[in-house]
Parts: sequence; structure tokens; C-alpha cells
Amino acid sequence: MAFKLKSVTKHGKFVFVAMVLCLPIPFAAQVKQVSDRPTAVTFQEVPASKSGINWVHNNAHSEERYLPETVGAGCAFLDYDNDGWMDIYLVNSGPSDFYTPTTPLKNALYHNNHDGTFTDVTDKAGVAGGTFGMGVAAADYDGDGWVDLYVTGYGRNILYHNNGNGTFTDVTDKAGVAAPGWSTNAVWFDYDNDGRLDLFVSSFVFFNKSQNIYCTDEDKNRRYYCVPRFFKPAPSHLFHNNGDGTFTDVSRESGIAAYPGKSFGAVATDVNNDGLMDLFVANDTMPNFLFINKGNGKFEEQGLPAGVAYSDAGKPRSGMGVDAVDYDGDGWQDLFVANIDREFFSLYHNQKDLTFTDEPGEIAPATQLLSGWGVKFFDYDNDGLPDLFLVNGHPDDFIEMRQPRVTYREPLLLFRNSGHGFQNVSAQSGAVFTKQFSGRGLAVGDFDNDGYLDVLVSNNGAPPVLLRNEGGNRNNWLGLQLVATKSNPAAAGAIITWVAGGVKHSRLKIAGGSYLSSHDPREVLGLGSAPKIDSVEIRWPSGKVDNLTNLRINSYLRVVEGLGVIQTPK
Amino acid sequence: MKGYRLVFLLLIALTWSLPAAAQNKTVDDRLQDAATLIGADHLVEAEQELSSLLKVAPGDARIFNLLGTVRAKQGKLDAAETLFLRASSLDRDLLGAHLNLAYLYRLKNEPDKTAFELEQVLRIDPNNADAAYKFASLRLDQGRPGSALEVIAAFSQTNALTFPLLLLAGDAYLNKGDFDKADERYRRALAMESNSPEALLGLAQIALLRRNSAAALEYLNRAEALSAASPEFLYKYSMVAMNAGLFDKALIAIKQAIDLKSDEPAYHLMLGILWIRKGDAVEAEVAFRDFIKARPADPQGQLYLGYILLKQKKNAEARLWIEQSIKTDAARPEAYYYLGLIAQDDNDDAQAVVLFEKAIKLQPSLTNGHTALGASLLKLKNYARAQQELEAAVKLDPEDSKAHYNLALLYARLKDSERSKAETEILQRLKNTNKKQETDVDAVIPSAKPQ
Repeated sequence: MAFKLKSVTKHGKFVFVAMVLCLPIPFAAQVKQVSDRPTAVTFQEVPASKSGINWVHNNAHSEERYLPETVGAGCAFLDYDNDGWMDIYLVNSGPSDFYTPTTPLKNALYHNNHDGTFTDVTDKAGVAGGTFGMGVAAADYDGDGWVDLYVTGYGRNILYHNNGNGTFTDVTDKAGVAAPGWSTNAVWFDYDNDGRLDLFVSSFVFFNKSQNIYCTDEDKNRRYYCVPRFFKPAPSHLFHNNGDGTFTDVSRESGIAAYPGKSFGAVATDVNNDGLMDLFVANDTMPNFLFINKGNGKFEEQGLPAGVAYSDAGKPRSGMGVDAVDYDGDGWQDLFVANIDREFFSLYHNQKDLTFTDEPGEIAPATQLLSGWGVKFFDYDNDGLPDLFLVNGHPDDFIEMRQPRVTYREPLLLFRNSGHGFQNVSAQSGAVFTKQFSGRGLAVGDFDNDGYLDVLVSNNGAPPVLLRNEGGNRNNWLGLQLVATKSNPAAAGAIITWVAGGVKHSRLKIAGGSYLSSHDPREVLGLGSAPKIDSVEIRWPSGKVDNLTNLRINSYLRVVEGLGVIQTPK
Repeated sequence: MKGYRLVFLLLIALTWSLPAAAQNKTVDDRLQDAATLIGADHLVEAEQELSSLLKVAPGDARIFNLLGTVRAKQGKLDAAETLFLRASSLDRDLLGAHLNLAYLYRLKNEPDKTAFELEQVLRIDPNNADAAYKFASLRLDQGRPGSALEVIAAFSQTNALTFPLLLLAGDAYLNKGDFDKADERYRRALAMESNSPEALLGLAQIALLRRNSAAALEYLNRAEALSAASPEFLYKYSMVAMNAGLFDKALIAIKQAIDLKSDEPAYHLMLGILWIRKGDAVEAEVAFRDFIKARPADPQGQLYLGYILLKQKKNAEARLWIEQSIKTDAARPEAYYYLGLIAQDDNDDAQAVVLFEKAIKLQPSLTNGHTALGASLLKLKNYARAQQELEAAVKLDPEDSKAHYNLALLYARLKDSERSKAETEILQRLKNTNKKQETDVDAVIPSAKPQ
């Protein structure tokens, strides 16, 4: 439409006699100004040229827009060689029924050289993958003291057993945890408190090459990634650890398989404080699941009555990343789900009666146009309160042509827990927060052992981003490596309570969370400016309690369950 | 440079000639001189002349009227108002003073006072077609199409209806829902000015309301082809195109209107409403802020701004604007509904209940109000009352998915799994039919009053 402009003498136009008026009327809106308390803690991007991490994720991007292309992949911090330094694992795509790589694609294991650089040891370790990889979950499933790797994927999953000599062995078939189909998040946790790590594996939709749907924008004649609502949901898996290197699929008996979903993120935590780890699972375009552990090997899905399944308007959202934390220190685990743009992310506050209310506060407006994947609560500034890091990116690479203001690559976000809510401190926290990424996975770990937790972000079809936490506020800290003797090797479910400067904090050691990723298993306790830590209590899942005093701060300590033995790790 | 020199010389000539001229001129002549000076923006000289005149004719209403004009031009509206009122009290038949007051009150967004002054103008000059138009137009803006038609009818007793008054009559009848009479007036207007895009727009609107999209589109296209792109026309075009669901066309038109006349607040309001329809809250917020800059006290603008901020979960500022709007216009149920949603977001459900109840009191049929009230009562664990409100909601609108969701939640918490399942199935069915999937905020958009 094009209007020619013409001067028209209008009837009924008001004018003062002999005058024309221009009337600017000032009006100062009384907008509440959020006090942006400055924080000296920033994150600095470590370039590949410095870290030596030259690996790039290949998303197998095609004209056909096969859905698995856009949802991966994950990353992990793990100490595979027990040298006390966090190594890095990165998951790649690979051959599948819809994709044949022109050159072999590999997952990557990078050994930490203790000087800020890493060395690719993938081939030596034998953990290259070879499937269309999605996520990774690291844990010592057999309790031999060496962390193992479970890699999820489209097609088949892989369990790599750590041989303790820098190499791994694919024991998937022997263990019985292949879980064919399309798996996304995996969580190692001990659902029956028998001291062994069981395995939950999220399943996404039923999909294969022949089921790919043609989703297009007719006006623009472009094919884009289909919304998952077009595909059928698949049941997730629960594997019970038999303690002999094998697992039993208890998906059906436990009740998990009765709820097919389109599951992405999953986190194990204890939402009702009964000492049993429950499961919160985010679903895409379907109601989320909250599986309450009934203690008899069975789970009861309580997402609806708990108020965490749908939006407040009764709409299932596109849940992707999840996490759990007691963000307000009331002793009850709260839940978080990152959704797609315009759906807002949810911060579910635990009402202590198996119901939750969505109270995102400042997180909501900041994430209105974002799509969230990796998510992790951790105390980035060591003030004792859990903060929140979000990794974002839209799954549709054509989104900018279809949605105003939504972009394919999106910024990272950091929210600081002020004790009265979360404040968006991204702008003050480093130049990396002005950049945009096709973010997916997020792992948190202290790769330089300075007590300030660092961040690893895996991007779809792009290199990963390693962020070093520069610290800067000189807050004190204490790092704990929990070594279970009776409890599960990950100490998932342990409750750590510490007092410093007269302030008491408590943390439940959750399992899983984020998106397709796995974190540093150590716990860093923030002490703020307190010059010492008064006490630490560790309540292990086995019921044992260790009370520790006279601890050396600003260092990592090794705590062995029930022995009261504290050693400085290697 | 040449132009500047010329102005300068004129000024000197004027200054030098004034004292001598003043001695010989009549009061009327000197008033004319003062008006000329005001017209030329020589306000200091004009004021000097008028002050001097006041000594000669202290009770001359016309002097106060022109002094008021000087003040108004200086942006001193309150002082101007005092002077215009003094003028009109000295001479209640001074047309200029009433016209000025009408304009001033229009600027101050005081429609009742504007109407009073226009009534005075028509009392003094019943044949003043322009005043009749303004008065009828104001009544229509106030949502009083009947009064607008009365003004037009009174004027038409002694005068033939002008083209603009015919158009306005069409608009008023359209507003009243009398499509036949509206149609007839627009056609008469079109007969007077066959190339009138406004009349064509009116006819397009009627066609739309009669669900004749093809005819509506034809009228719209004819209007567009006439290219009479005054900002007023573009605004109207935009409104009709929006009602026809042609949001892109509407957007282009209103943007052009703003390009031509950026200081017209109504255009920014319209632009904001269109961005809401297009689903771009960020652009809508910008437009509403532009509107509020010009009309900071306008309750409708405040409500829209509050609404769009709420939509983006910028709740703290949203609350401020909505509360502002209630101070001026406390009769809008949606305002309390929005405040209730904010209270809900803040986890203050006790306060949310009070606010939703207020909204429902103002509009008992507000389905979303009942649903939101039920949801808050549910969170407060007042299950009996929650059930009552949610059932009231689904009675009002059986396809209210949020009400069904909350009922499913309620029954699940009451361990009534059968009823919970039934409600969940309804929810699923509604999802599959893509009905009622909007958010709470989307579900109740502020009702627009024409600006």
C-alpha cells in the first residue's frame, strides 16, 4: 500500500484565535528503579587458542530439517583421571538413519593440563561416541572410584566404563542400558537408597527418518524445524543398578513408563523432604512430570496437583532445561524450568505440601523472548546463596523471519540471588553476556580450582564456550569432595549444612538438571566475607551424619562418609 | 541570510512605528494590530500593546481574550485560562473567548468543559457549522452518539448539512449500530464528494459489520486508491483495516499518519493497539509510551501501557500505570483484573482475591475474572469457593481452558481423580482445537475508546 501525500484542509480543526500551540507536557513516571548492586565477580571467555579446545559441534544441519539436528548437544565437567582437576567432555552428532557424515565425527574428551589449557585425549580414552549424540551424564556407577560416562543419543546410548588408566570401555550391552530410540537427558541417582546409582533416561518423541514431517511457512516457502507437538511422545526409562555392572529396566514397574512424554531436562531431588529422591522432568509441548518417589520402587506422577505441569493458564509449555534448588533457604527444594520464547520461564516455589507456585520475579521479563536450555543454580559469587545461570538459543534457525524480536542466537543470562529475589546482573558480569549463542548445554565446574565456579556452554553447530569465573570479590569458600562409603557414590541426596559468620546455609546435593549436561561433582560452599567456617554437617543419604569443624577454608577437602576423615585431595 | 535580514527590518519598522501609530488608532485598530503581532509571534510587542490598551479600555473583553492568547502561546495554559474566563465573563457573547476556551480544554483533555464552551459558541452563533461539527464530534468521542446526532439535528433545522457533518452523522449512526441510517448518510456524503475516502471507509466499516468482507475490501481498496493521505484519513483507514483483520495494511497506514503528524497522541495509541494485535509487545510499549508523553493523564493510555508492561511481566511499572488509570477512571473492570494478575504474580493471593472481586462486581460476566479469582482461592486452599468461581467461569464460557485447568488441579488436590481426568480431557480437547490458548493477559485486552 502506498499513499500519496496531499495537503488537505481539515474541517473541525481546533486552533486558538491567532495562534498555534505546541504543548510538551513533562511527566515523570514513578518507575521503581531496581538497585543494581555492583558485583566484582565477572566471567571471562577463554578462547580456543588459549584453552586448546578446538572441537566444534556439528549439528548435521540439512534442508530436510530433521528434528534431532537442532536440540543437541551437551557437555560435562568430570575428573576422569582423579588428578583433582576438572576435565571436559563434549558430545557431537554422528551417523544416523538421516545423516551420514562426510568425515567421521567424534565426541571429545579434553584432559585438563592444570594450567588453563586442555589436551584432546578422546582417541586414547576411547570415548569418541559414534552415534548421533545428545547428552552426557558422568558418575561412578560401579563405585570403583573412577567416574564413568553415559552418553545419550538419537538411536542408541552408550555407557563408557572408566578403566582407571585413562581409557574407557563401552559396556552398554553388558549393562543393558542402550535404551534405543531418542534419549536426551540422563540422571544418575539412587532412587531406592541402596547405595548404588540408578539411571533415569529421558526419552523424546518417537522419530525416524521416514516420520519427518514437512513443516513450512507457505508465504516464504522455507522448510523449518517442526514443533514437537507433531510427534508422538515416548516413555522414559528407569534402570535399577544391580550392583554387578548390570542394570534392570524397571520403567514399567516403577510407573515411569506409564507416562510417555517429550522429555528433555530431568533433575532428581527430594521435593517433599522424605529422604527419597523424586524426579522432575520437563516436557516439550506437553505437561511436565513430577514423579514422586513412594519408597517402594514406585513413582507417582503428581505434576498436575503440584502445579508444575502446565502454565498458570493451563497451557502445556515447551519445557527444556530444568534445575532444583532451595533458593530461599526455607529448607524445601524449589524447581526451575526453561521454556521457549513468549512462554516465560518458571521458578516454582515449594509450598511445603507438594504444591508449588510459579514466582519467577525478575527472571520473567528478562526471558520473555528467549528459549532456555542449559540452566544451573550455583553460587557464582560465593556469598552462600545460589544464583542462576541460563543458556539460551532458539531451535528454529529461520525464527527471525517469522517472529519479530526473537533471534536464533541468544544471550546468556546471569541472575544474582540477593536474598530477596533474583536480579539480572548479566550486564555487569562480563563482555560474554553481550554476545549471542545457539546455546544448549551448560555444565558448571571449577576447572582452575580457584574456588570460583566456572561455566562450560555447548552450542548447536558451533564451538563450545568456556567461561572462567574471575572471582574478584574475595569472598571465602570451602570446596568439598564427598566420598561415599555406604551411600551412592555421587552422594546424591546428601544434605550439607554449614555455618559461617553466624549465618547458616543448607544445600541438598541434587542429581542431573540443566540440559544434556553434567557438572563438577564437588560442592563449593560460599562463606561470604566470613574469615572462617564455624561448622559443616553432612547428612548422607544412608542416614549417617558427619560433623566437621576446624576446617581450612579456601581449599578443597575430601570428606569420607562415616569416617570423619578429611583429606586434601590430590 | 536574506530572509533573516528582512524579518529584522520589519521588526524595527514595527517597533519604531508603534508609538506614533498608537496615538491615532482606535481601540479596534489597535486590537487588530495586537492580533497581527500575535500571529507573527511578536508576543512581547503584542503584550505591550495590549497592556497599554487595557489602560484605555479596562473592561474590554477582547483585550483579555488576546492577552489569554499570548499566554497560551507562551505555554502558560493556566494563566491563559484565567484570562479567557475573564474575557467571557465580561462579555458572555464573545465568540473568540469561548472558542479559545474550547480549544484550551481540548488540549487539557477536559471534554466536559470543552463541550460547555462549544455549546456557548453555538448559542451565540447557531449557524457555525465548524462548532457544530466539533461539538458533535466531541460527543461521539465521549461515546455519546445520541448526543452527537442531537447536535447535528439541531444544526440541520436551520442549515443544510455540510459534508463533514454528514460524515459525522454516518459515524454516529454506525456507533449506535444503526447501519441503515449510517449507510444512507455515508452515501449522501459520497454524493457530495464522490472522491471522499472517509465516506468509503464508513461504507467499508458497515460492510464489515454486515460480514460482507468482499464489499469491505472493495471499499477499502477504493479509499486507498484515492490517495487522499491526510493523517486523519490514514488513521481512520488504519482503524477500519484493523477491524477487517488487515493488520499489515493498518500498520502501514498508521505509521504514515505518524510520519505526517507525529504529535497526534491518538495515532500512537492506535499504533500500540495494532502492535498488540501483531503480537509485538515491545513495539506496542514504545507506542503507548509515546502516547503517554503527550497525554500523561489519559486513563486509557495509562491502562494500555500498564497492560503491555504486564504482558511482558514488567509488573512493578505496570502496577503504577494501572493504578494511575484507576485514579481517573475507576469503572474499568479490566484495570482491577490486571492488578489482580500482578498480585497473583507477586504471590499475594489475598490481595488478588480483593481485586478480582472488584473486577467482577463491575462486570459480573467477566469470565477471566471468575477464573483468576478461582485460581487465587485455589492457591489459598479455599477449595469450596474456588470451585464455585471456576464453575461460574465455565458456565459463562465452556471453552475457558484456564478454568478447566484449575478445576482439574482442584479435583486432583481433592483426590477426585475421575473429575480431574475429565477436566484434563476437556483441556486436551481445547488444546487440540486451538481454542482459548491465550494467556491471562491476552484474554482481556483493554477496551478501546476512540480518541
